[in-house]
Amino acid sequence: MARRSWAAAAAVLVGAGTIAVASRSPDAPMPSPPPAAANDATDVGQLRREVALLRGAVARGPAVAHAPAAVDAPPPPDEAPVAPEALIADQTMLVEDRLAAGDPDPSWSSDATRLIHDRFAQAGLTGARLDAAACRGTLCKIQLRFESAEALAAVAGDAADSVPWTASGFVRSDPDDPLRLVVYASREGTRLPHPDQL
Amino acid sequence: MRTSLLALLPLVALAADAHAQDRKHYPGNMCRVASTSYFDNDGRVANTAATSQKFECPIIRDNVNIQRTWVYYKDLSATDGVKCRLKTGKIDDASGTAYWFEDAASGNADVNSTPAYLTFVDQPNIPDGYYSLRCYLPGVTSAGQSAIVKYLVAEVE
Repeated sequence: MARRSWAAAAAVLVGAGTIAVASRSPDAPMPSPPPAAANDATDVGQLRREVALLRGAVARGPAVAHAPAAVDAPPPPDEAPVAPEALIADQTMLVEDRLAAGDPDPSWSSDATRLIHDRFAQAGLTGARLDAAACRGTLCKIQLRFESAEALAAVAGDAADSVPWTASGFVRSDPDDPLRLVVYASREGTRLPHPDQL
Repeated sequence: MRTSLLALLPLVALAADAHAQDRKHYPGNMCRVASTSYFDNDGRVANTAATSQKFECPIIRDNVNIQRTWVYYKDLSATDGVKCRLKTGKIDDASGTAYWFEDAASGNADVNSTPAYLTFVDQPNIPDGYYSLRCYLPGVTSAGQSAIVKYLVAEVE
């Protein structure tokens, strides 16, 4: 969006410069310019320099216009440098804490656990077995173990399919077992708690 | 005209920075069916097969994280629904895989001949991560073909 605004502004300015320059045909005889025309020529030259500067600014992006002194500096990161591992660890801790916090609805938990087992029996993931499934509160934890790293890599992106309802969730490799994936899923109608939303 | 044009630069920058959300409308026909035939017309993608088909809809990440996503669809099946999953993940590396997912679906019995939409809310910010949107469209019925009309992604700027 920002880049498009810059391009539009530059296009207007470049267009203005082009019109000003095109008003002087190179084939027309050039009478002695009156003083006012000399000022026009100076304006055209100034316009050309400014258009060139603007073209450069557009090519470099808006950050340069905000901080001209930073032209030679490396581009700033486009987002806060938060390590994914930290977010994954925070997310894992949060859902594990919630799972350990008690079970206000044991009937849902047992039904949900059974549904997970049924889903896996009907449509399991190739090369995987269901190691464990447990639900508490509004969350379920599903542990899948794969026969090989290749099998895991082939279907890791589909691991969320082991949840038999419309859910939000989180899938991660088990740091203690490279052949295991852990799927955390919310109860239908609820959302997975996120660490940055606490 | 004697006023330097360069003086306009801060104004242009301020106008650009006034937007806190970067919204992009993707035509439904950017979605590609993962198995059999597909059909696109007027920017939509429709399922021409007799059975439910899976479509992958690319999302370009160019900001921080997704704040909202809407998938506009037509569901012409009274026995099956449109089901979509939005994923945000990190690129697999030595530490393995990790992604967040969110599902949304229309009711199996619901029929929407005019576009309805599914909504996805805040996704986590995964530096250098990826987005993935996958949808299943019901098979053709006597009422016609179910379709993804478009999807709208709003990233935080």
